[in-house]
Amino acid sequence: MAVEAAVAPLAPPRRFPTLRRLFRHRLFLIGLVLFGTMVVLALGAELIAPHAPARMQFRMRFRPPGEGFLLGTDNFGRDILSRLVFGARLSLGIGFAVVLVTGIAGTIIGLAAGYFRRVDEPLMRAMDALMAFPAVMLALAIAAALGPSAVNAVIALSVVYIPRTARIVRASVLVVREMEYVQAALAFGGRHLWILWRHVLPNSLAPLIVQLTFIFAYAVLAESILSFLGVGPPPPTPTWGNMIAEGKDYIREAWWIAMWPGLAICLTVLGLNLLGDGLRDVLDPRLKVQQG
Amino acid sequence: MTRLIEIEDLAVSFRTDRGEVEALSGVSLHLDEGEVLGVVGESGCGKSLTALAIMGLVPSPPGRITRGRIAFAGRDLLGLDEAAMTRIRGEQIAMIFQEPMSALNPVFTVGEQVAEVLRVHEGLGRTAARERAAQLLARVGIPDPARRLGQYPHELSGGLRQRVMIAAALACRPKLLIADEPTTALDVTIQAQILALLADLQREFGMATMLITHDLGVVAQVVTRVVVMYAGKVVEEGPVEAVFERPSHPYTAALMRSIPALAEGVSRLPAIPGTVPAPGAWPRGCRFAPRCTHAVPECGAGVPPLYPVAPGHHAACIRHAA
Amino acid sequence: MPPDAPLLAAQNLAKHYKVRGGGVLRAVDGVDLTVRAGDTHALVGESGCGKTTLGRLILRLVEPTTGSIRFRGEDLLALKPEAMRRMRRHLSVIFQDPYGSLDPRMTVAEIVGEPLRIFGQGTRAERRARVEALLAQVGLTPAHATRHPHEFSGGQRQRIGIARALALEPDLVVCDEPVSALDVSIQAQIINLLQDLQQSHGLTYLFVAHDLSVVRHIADRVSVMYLGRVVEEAPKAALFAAPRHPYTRALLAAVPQPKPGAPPPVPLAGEVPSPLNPPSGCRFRTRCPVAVARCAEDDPALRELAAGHRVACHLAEA
Repeated sequence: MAVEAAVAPLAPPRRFPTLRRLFRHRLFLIGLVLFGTMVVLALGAELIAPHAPARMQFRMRFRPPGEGFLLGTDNFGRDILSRLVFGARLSLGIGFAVVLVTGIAGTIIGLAAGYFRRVDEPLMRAMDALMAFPAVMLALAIAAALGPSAVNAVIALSVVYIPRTARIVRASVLVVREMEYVQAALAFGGRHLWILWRHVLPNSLAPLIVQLTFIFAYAVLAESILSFLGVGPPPPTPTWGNMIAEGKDYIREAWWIAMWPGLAICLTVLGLNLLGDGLRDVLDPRLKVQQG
Repeated sequence: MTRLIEIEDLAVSFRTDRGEVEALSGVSLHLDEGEVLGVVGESGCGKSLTALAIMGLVPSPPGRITRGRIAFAGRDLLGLDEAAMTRIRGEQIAMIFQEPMSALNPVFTVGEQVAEVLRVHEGLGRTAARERAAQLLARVGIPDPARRLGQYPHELSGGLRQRVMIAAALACRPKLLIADEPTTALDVTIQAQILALLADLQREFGMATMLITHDLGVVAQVVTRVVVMYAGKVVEEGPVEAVFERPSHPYTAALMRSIPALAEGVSRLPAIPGTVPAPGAWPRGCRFAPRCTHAVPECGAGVPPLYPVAPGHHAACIRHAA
Repeated sequence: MPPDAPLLAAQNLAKHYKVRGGGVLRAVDGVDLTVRAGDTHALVGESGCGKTTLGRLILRLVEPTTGSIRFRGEDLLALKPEAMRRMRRHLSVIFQDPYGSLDPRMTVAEIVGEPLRIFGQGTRAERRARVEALLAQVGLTPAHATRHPHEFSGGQRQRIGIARALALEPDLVVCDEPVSALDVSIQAQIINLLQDLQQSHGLTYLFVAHDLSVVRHIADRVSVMYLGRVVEEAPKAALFAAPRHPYTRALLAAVPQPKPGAPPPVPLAGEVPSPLNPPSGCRFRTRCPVAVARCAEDDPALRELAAGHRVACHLAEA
């Protein structure tokens, strides 16, 4: 059988076109540097911290930033830099755990609700019920009920944010399930789980990834609020929220105690938001079409 | 006949991920008053972009007119400011599109949209504009126009929406109507209605029409002169009978051989090999050469200009170089 | 299955959709369809006539409201989900939209090989070899296997879709407007390819289309649909030479001929009525140039007026 060779040579493949575009996105890079710095501080806490975070030196109380204590000391004479980097580990760790739990649970719920119409109503009404409460109030109530600990903070924040991720996943699943390639997979004998795993999930993830960066930021913020209000990991555990809570009484005399963790929260949230904006610009399919 | 529009050496580029890409490279064409010109070509050939350039609607950025001239009734359109161009668009040149739904505003009624054109460009009052809009809808064959005026675009069928677009386009009796694939989205029986309507209105209003299409059947039935475009260039132009009887550019000839409607009785269509090159991937020299059965090494030497084949009939192929 | 039995026989097939606010949309409303093995059977009609829905019903991507479908001698609608799934290897589809029908995140090899993986055919290496053979059959090369759909033009993507459709050596391929989204110069390539593959693989096509010149070129038999019904069914030559239903005549007359000086297209008055509220009697009567009083009362059934030529019109004569 003679087949007309119909194909002009293709352009050489471009590897990782999405990464290329991300790394040309200036705000994304700034976000990456900010957030990356925080992650490095958290991961390398033992190496970076000049002192043990819980070591109290009463003669060194209220030392301003300067020699010996780069960021100063607090009301117990603990080194703020050391507490800050260990606090980063906990705050970011809680944020990451929340992202992981909400990402997985939200994806499962969203996939089920968007793809199997029968479970859509009950699942989404349950999500609506959770979303009816103000996020921080709900987290506060759950954390207070479970008792102050890092794990409970993760549980509380996950319950708060799962409905949001589930909604976003469901919305994109509703679009993807109508695509012709899903029909094609059905026509070629694909089972529902195959179609969910091979087609629906990969094509629904982009908006979720964007949303998860924002949820990371909210979680860091919310965790510090919980800690500040005393329902997070209990003192003397160094979290950014605890540090601000302890520093607030001395804000006139020793502003640095509360300022450094506040600044850390600020930069982390800013970095994550910039990362999310960049991801949205690059992953948003509508923009992709325009760029051809 | 008087020249209505004269385009010379028009080139348009777009800024993309891969740098500046030329989408239209040196297009020259003209249209006389009252003439019906067909512009034929496949996707990416630049036919719609030419129309947008005339309308001053090339999206910018990323688009940019890099060279050339568009003269309309003796005025240089590319030199006009936005206000003057807006006036020309409403009153002298009108355009209808393939998908009228995207050109009509979904939150206003049909009557409001047609009347708005009349109020802005003709200075009519509210009542007068509404009356005139009803007349126009009746003129384009919309039954029960008074009721239709109060309806929203989504309440109309595709054929009726296209009629509304035509009514709005004709509101100010333009000298030139640009119709960009006006029937492509329509069913064939509705297409025949719209084509008949356009022919009718063209006779009555005497406006020049530039009909952009990929459908050779529509071209053969509607236009008097045809311009064939390929890969951002005009490859052939001439009277419609001449172009269909003696297609002189190998692309035109191959295109006509390959459509099933003209290949009656053959068991296998003489297809054109290869793919339509995308902007930015255009070959050197004659852009059709890689797919051309007549290609010789000289075809790669330079982009061939339009050579005369017969009076008023030109083809951009070196086989016609004197 | 007796040797001369049709490959596909659908009877009284209907799909009604309940519409919000009451009312029933009759997308397909009582259609008989018989497709012989080896034929290209075209379904033509304008948008909303139900031809695409009919194709999806045959594929059981849409569950019919009533009717029966016999395919390869089996009652398709009686099959349990798992049996139906296994039947799908004999029943394939090519979609209209070469952009939407290929998963953008998959490579060409994954797309073409997906039916093989779903049916667990062969080892990884065998599947790879099969994918390369399929790509060669549709005019692509092994080098294309690692690329993603967005790197290809519309015509090339349609070749990928065709390779996928052939992966399991099906008997029947539902071609849903396979060339209508393509450039004119590419359409002929794909039509030729479909014809070549039909010969070499012994395929049967159910060819859904609105372009009559394409149908005239490729089809053996044609069913003309209007508002959810088949109004005329005939061998291609008979249908184009002597159309008997007024709608078929109007449809053919409305196509502009690509010959300057040819008779101009004749418009058919009016628009297709809503399938929510189809006219009584003959559905075409509201636009029919020859309708009589009886057409509003009696719903005409398909009558065989010549060998294999069936028409649903009171006025058509043998």
